[in-house]
Amino acid sequence: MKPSAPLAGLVIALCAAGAMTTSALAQTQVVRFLHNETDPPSIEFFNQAIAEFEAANPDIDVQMEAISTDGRLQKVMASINTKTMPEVFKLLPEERFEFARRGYILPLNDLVDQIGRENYIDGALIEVDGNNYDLPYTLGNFSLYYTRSDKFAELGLSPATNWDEMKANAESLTKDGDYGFIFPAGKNRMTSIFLSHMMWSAGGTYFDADLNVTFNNPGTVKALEFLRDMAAFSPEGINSYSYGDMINVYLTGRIGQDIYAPRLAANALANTPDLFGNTDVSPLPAGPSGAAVKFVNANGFALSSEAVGSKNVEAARKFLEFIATGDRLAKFSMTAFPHLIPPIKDVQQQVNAMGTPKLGGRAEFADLAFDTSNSLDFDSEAGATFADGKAIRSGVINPYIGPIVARHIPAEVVQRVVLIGEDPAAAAAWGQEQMQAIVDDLKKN
Amino acid sequence: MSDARTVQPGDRTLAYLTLVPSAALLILLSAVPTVTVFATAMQDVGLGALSGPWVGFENFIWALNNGAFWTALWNTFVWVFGSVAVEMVLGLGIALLLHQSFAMRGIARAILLAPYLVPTIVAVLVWRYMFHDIVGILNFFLMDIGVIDRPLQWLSSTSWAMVSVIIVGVWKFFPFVVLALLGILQSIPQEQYEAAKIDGASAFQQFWRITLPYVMPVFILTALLRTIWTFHKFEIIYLLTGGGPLDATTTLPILVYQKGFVDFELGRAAAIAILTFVILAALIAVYFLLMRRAESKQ
Repeated sequence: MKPSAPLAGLVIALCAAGAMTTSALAQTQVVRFLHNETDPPSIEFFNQAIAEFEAANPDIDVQMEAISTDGRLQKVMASINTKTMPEVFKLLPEERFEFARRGYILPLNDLVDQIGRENYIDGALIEVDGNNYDLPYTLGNFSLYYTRSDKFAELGLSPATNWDEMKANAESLTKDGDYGFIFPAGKNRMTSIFLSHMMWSAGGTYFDADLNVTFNNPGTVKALEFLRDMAAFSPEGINSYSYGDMINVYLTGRIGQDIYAPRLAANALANTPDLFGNTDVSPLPAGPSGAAVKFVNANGFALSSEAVGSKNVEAARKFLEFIATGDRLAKFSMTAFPHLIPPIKDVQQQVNAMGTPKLGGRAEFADLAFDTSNSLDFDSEAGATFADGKAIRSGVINPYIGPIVARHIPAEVVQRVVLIGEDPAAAAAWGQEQMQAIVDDLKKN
Repeated sequence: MSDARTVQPGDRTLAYLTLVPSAALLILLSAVPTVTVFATAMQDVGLGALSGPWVGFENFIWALNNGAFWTALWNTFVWVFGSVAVEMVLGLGIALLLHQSFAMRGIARAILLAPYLVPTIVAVLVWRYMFHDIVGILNFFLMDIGVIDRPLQWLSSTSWAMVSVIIVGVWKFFPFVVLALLGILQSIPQEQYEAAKIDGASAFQQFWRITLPYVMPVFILTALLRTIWTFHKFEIIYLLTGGGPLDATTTLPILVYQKGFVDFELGRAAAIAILTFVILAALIAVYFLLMRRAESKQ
């Protein structure tokens, strides 16, 4: 029996449609985009920006995946091993050297030159062997010192300028179910960040300028002793605290002093305006070295190389330039003002002017958040020295720190002291041993 | 007239050919990954590679000489037997209750089975909030009724973290035990209870002499099945504590994950996975043995 004419027509039409779809798919270049900016306003911004970009570039399809900070690390590592890396992804500073050395990421010198190197805030651009491998889109400042103005006034206290004063304040504030201090002591990256700026303020570093492990130093021990003492004035649950707890517990109104990122101010304003009104921000108190060293790192987007599964590099480069510059950068920074600090000078001024009225004119929050001077981060701290209240960078970029932080060794050192009461010197020695083993292993390979 | 005919020489070939797709799928989805894990365990595999230098049994020797492995093994046993013991006792008790006739029994059954239906990620995140020392409802409630005078460190104390993890595990999976035991309870002939009542047997005697012998084979098999499933449970612990504080809740699956995706020592992770597999295989062998014994009794 012959097929009927309508049926034959349908088959031909379906085949033609299929062929056209296949051809359209073949022309569409997919750019996968992985990041950890999971605030709903940030996600909304990215969705809008992607829609704008796709409208201007109909041949490019951007597929975004937003994931938590802790989950991002594992996702990136697994994608590298399976060679399925997204074309554009959030790069952590401590990954930069290793990923560049292994050829997982591509140089972005042309993009940086196009934007203008001189436009970037000092310290935002980090080079590996003379090349830039990431385009910074925000700076993360984890070292703002928040105090409860109402409680301080009631007890006749003043914001601390050094560790001794901070401890004395904490002691006075700890009463009637309230806590004088809070810090993260969970086995996570936030705890490692917290220990780091305490250690630097006490005059210690993880590595010296020759990249020898120097973690077991007097500064580390002093920082650990300080954290051990301050644990008595902090919630007992700090042993599981990470990023979110530093804000959520502060928002209960029971914390007198908190050292954290500007996100705390943004969240307090959005969720507990009265508490925001009773919150002051001050410069970070100085440690025993006389310096108050902030932890500030540049968050950048990087381009994966074909070696780890990137497929549409040029389309990805086009998208990266679009998302990390101009109005988009300002709009993105405004999604969590003053937490997301633009790394480009004129954008920073623009954002500061737009955002300060939203904080009820309290300019000190953005001023202190945007002040990223006297700071270090994991990959730039090797060999730093401290004099006259300043941290002086050695200029050495540390290729070994990434795996140490990824394995949460500094955080585990804090847990050993705070959770099981190990002697700070013994914990520092344990940390040194663990770090040395990782470095030896890396040098071997 | 019947269409039946004798087996022809080509039939056997056809029979084997029809098995090929299933066999190929099994090889692809089961045998290939298993062999790959065995091969990985014999190599030194690091970041950015799926193979590395051949090291023989070095990774196994490392694991067996490593304190972290034995701590994780001990934690695994505490987690497994803690969870399964409570699940079985609670499950049996609730199954007996639900087996009774009472008003709105259907609704009660549906409510009790709900935890099993809630996605694990949702359940664990809600529990995380409930366990929080300052903002959690559990501490608030316990302090409000005067049971405790200061917040319990559900997730941040080395002694409480495992208890918390077990509580969530039991809450999530005891409905499975209830379902399994309710099924067998409903199959016990009522005549036996009626005869026992006529003979003057007490409620306890009826339970001991009639219910328990009927339920026991399914009880044991369910316990073993839950043991096997709990042994390799990963997401509840990972999402609640990440294996901490320190290594207080690091079980073998968590250790495999840490070695593989945090330390990126894939060879060592594979070796631990195989050692875990060997322990599980022993448990599965016991399961089959008991199942065969139960079948032969029937």
